[in-house]
This record gives sequence, structure tokens and C-alpha cells, in this order.
Amino acid sequence: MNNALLTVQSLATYFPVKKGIFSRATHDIRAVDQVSFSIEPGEALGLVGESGCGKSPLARTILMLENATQGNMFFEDTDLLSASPAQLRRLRRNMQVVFQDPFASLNPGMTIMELITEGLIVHGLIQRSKRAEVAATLLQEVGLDPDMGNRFPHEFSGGQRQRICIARAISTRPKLLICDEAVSALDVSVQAQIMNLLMKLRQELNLAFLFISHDLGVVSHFCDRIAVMYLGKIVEIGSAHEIMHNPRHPYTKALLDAIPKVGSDKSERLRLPGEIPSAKNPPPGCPFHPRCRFAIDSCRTTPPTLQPCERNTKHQAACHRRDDTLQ
Amino acid sequence: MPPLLDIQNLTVTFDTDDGPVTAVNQLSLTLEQGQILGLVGESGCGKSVTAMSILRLLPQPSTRITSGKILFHGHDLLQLPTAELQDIRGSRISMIFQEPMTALSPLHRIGNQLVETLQIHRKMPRKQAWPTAAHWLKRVGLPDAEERMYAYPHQLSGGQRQRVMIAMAMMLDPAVLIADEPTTALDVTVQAQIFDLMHEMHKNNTGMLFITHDMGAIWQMCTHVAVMYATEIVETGTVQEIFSNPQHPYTRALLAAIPANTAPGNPLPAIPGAVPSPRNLPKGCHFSDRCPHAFDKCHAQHPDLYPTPCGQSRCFLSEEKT
Repeated sequence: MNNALLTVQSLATYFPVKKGIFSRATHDIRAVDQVSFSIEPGEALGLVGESGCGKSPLARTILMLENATQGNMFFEDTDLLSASPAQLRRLRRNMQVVFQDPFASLNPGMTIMELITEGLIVHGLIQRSKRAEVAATLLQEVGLDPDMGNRFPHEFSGGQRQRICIARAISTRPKLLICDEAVSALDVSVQAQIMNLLMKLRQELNLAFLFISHDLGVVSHFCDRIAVMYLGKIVEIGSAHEIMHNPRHPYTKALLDAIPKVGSDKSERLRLPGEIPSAKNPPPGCPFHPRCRFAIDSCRTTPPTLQPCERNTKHQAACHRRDDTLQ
Repeated sequence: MPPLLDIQNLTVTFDTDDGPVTAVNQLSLTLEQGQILGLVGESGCGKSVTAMSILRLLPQPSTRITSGKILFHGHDLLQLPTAELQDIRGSRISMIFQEPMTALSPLHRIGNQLVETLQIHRKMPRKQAWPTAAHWLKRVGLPDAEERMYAYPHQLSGGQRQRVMIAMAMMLDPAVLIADEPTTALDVTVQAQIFDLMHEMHKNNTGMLFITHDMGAIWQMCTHVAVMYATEIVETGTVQEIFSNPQHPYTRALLAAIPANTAPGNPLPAIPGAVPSPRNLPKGCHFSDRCPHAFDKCHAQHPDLYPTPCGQSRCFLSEEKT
């Protein structure tokens, strides 16, 4: 085994579509399709793509909240898909998650202290008598007043609630934090505060991240590497700098072009026609070919796989024309 | 020539269980012919309330417009009888919202909703209105437009629904379009397509009030900007000037907080603290608690809008310069 923290190999998650009075599964929606990547200890991998491309199902599968249809997942050396419930329970403290909506992810009937120390107690890491003390330290770590432990979630603003979610996530001192659109619902000024907090914690705790967002600006600021998803597949993966400045997949290029950037030329932009096709009925060949200006015959018949770009094995794109200078 | 839309000293008050709260305070804005005016600010600053006031769409009686005028072609929209306002709504001043699902009727086919609009505002017979509506759906780039006329809103994607809203707004050729966060719920690639359509409307001489929290979208779309903070306008100017030479510390902080302006991995210049609640605004300048340049006067006295090279700024530092 290598020394990666998380290794995902040919992972697939299909959701059956049921029809008729007997709810027979007629076909599958391939939400996650043959996805492979790894995350090193302390590394931040960004995952970007449009809504419906399978970012969240991928995160949920890694967290074992959805059942994987195929493939392998390893956390350090443990095979997640064949691990016993007891093994998984021990592992879960190492893998934590922060969701998009801090209003939906905190139980309104629990105090902040109960919320952020629950994981520690479930995993038997602290005694109940130590709760208040530990909660105060955690609150301080995420930049909140340590005396707020006895309050309830409704008393906090969106940004503060996201800090509480982060405090809960880091309480068990995980090695991997999965952020699913964790800063997307926040205002710009608050978003910057939360990003700064995550960067600080990343350094202090040597946390690895799977950072999911539709906002390439946020992802490229935070992450070492970026993976771009389209219709359940990773279509390009590489260092943040390579993806932002030397994208090889036409979809990545279109995505970068569509971001309204301050100071950019307002007229010269590559427009992406149409919309993301339904995952129920993906196009044959390359899933992106109906929207791609550069599509050639082989794109319509042969699905491309991730291949190194310009012989750089760390930068891969699933495009037949990735090294084509005409692009 | 008088401005297209002239908002003067608008004050909007909400009646809550804890007494009245001012959501918009003495706000003045003008939209000139040919402008796309961006109204930018964080949640709760009053930008949507301002937009809703223009067509008097705020819930009654819990919301009161306590002062001000909104002049459209010389008529005060706030004093107009409802019947006359009805003629202006949709036809002269159109509005598109963040969530098109709530703006379309879930029980009626897209085609019927578009046709109804033409029947009411253009007195067009149904036979003529149907192909006209289909033509506009095609114009906004909806695939299989003729078939989609028979679709219900839930059968369309978010981007497609927003296109239907824009088709509805475009076909009446309004003088003013109010767009309240029209692309916030959409993906960036779809957003770019919607922006193109709005630019096309602008070329046909529609003035626009574009409300957003995204500075990048302002850059892409607008000619002029008004920045709002805690119930008031804090800075106005042309897009070029606001982005290259922002005067108000809040505008500067908003621009600085965009991740693209900081080298990857470095801490972002975040604004400390949080937006104050309109219930509990600081005395003096509303931004004084979070402002790195605040001095004694800022905490004691409320600043007016002072002239800047191409707009106005509500900051004592701008007063000194003039």
C-alpha cells in the first residue's frame, strides 16, 4: 500500500430508478461513475462541477452514507467497503464532514456544548464531566466566545453556526475533513472569515481536505489539487495552478471562462451551449461531446479515460484532444 | 431628459412583534436611460426590499413605506391607484426573481402563462399570442420551444425556468427590468447564458436594476453601481471607478475579500465581525464598528453622502477630500 490517507479506486454509485406498481428497477442513474483519486495526509483536494454532476453523492459514498455499487475505498490501510461495523466506528472519528446549510445540520433542541462534544462522548474520548471544559476550548479554537456553550443554535448567525459545525467536525481530531459546499451559503465577508478559519485549522491540525464547491475561485484559493467532475466522472485532475492556468479539458476551460471575474475582458468569453445532460441517459462516447466545440468522430464513439497531459502524470484529463494544440 | 426611474428618500419600515424596524433608510437612486445599475450588498442590507418597493410588492400591512417617492416617467408609483399600477407591472417595469419556480404558477402550462401575459398586457388574441410566445421561447434559447410550451414549470430545469421568466419579461419590451439575484441559484455556465440574454435586452434600450451580492457579476453586467450596507447606500459610481478606485472602506473591504485578489493559500482580508442587525445599528456610521479607518467622529455622528470623482460616498474621509 502507498502512504495515501484516502484512496478511491474505480468507485461507482448508482441510484436505481424504480417504475411501475412493483417498483422494479428499470435502469440506473450513474451518480458516481468509475472515479479514482487519492488524498495524501494534510493535502487539500478540491472537487468542482455543476449541480447534478455527482459531487455530493461522491462525498456521501466516501462517508459511507450511500452504498457504493462498485470499486474500492481505503482509508490508510483499511478497506472501507469490507470493514466491520466496529472498525468503521473507530474510523469515523478520523473522517468528519461540514455541510452547506448550517441551519439544517444543527439539532435545534441541543445546546452548543452538547452538539460539539457529542462525537467525543460517542467515541468515548472524554468523560461527560469534562464536557463544558472541552466545549469552551473548541469554541475558542473556531473563534467563538467560550462562554456560549449553553446557548441554542437559533441564537447564532449563519457564519457563527458554520463555525459551530466546524468545531463539531474537528472535535474528534480527524485526519480528513470533507467540506460539502461549506462556504457557499455565506456572504462574501463571512465566507472570507470561514475560509481563513479552515486554513488556520488545516495548518494547526495537519488536516487533509476534500473540499467540494461549485466556486472555482474559492477552491483554487484553498486547495493544492483540483478535480473537475462532469456527469459522474472526473474529467480532469491536477494541481490547482495547472487547472487554473493550463486547463486541458474543454469543459474545465468553459467552466473557468464562465466565472465573472473582476477586471476580465467582458466580451471575449467562450460560451458553453446547452445544459448538463441527464445522468439517466448519458450520451455515448465522451459525455461532454454534445456541448464540445472540439468534438471529433472518436469523441462520439469512444469514451476517453483519464490520461496524462503533456506527459505530466500529475495532470490528467479525460479528453481525446487534451494535447491538441488546436484547442 | 428625466431619469427612467427616480427613487427619492425611500424609507421602508417593517412592523414586527418587537416594534417597528427600518429596513431601508432614506434611500435615493436614479436609473438613467441605457444604464444597468447594480445594487450590491450582503444579506439583510435592504437591497431586495428596495426592489420590491418599486412595484409595491411588499406584504401589506406589515410593511409600510413611511416616506419617499418613486418616480417613473414623472408619476409617483407609490401614489398610483392599484389599477394603474397593474398596467405598469410586467408591461413597463418587469421583474425577475432568484427562484423562478415561485414566480411561475405550478398548475399552468408554460405556454398558457406566456399567452396570458400577452392577452392581458397587449390585448393580443390567443391565436396570435401562442406563436408569439413560442417565438420568444426560441429567442431565449430554450430547446424544442414549441414542445416546451406544453410543459409545466416542474418539468424544466432551474436555468430553463429562468429563461421562461426572461422571455416573459422580454416579449413585453419593458422600459425597466428589475432583476433580483436572477442567477444566484444557477450554475456559472448557465449564468453566463442568462447574462447574454440580459445584455441583449439592454441593447434594445431596457434600463436595468440588477441586484446581486456578487462583485464579479456586477463587473460583468453593469455600467453603474450602488453599494448598500445596513439599510443605506454607502457608495455610488460607475463600474470602472468603483472597481479601480473605491472610496468607501466597506466597498474596498468587499472587493478585497474576493479570493481571486489574494495569492492562493494566504489569509483573506476578511471584514471582522458581522453585519449589524437593522434593529440594533451602531450610532454614527453603521460601518464604524468594523471599519479599520474609523475615528471618533465616525462613532458619534452619522455621515451623509459626499461627492466623489464620479459618484457619492457615505464616509467622513470622503468629506475631508471635498
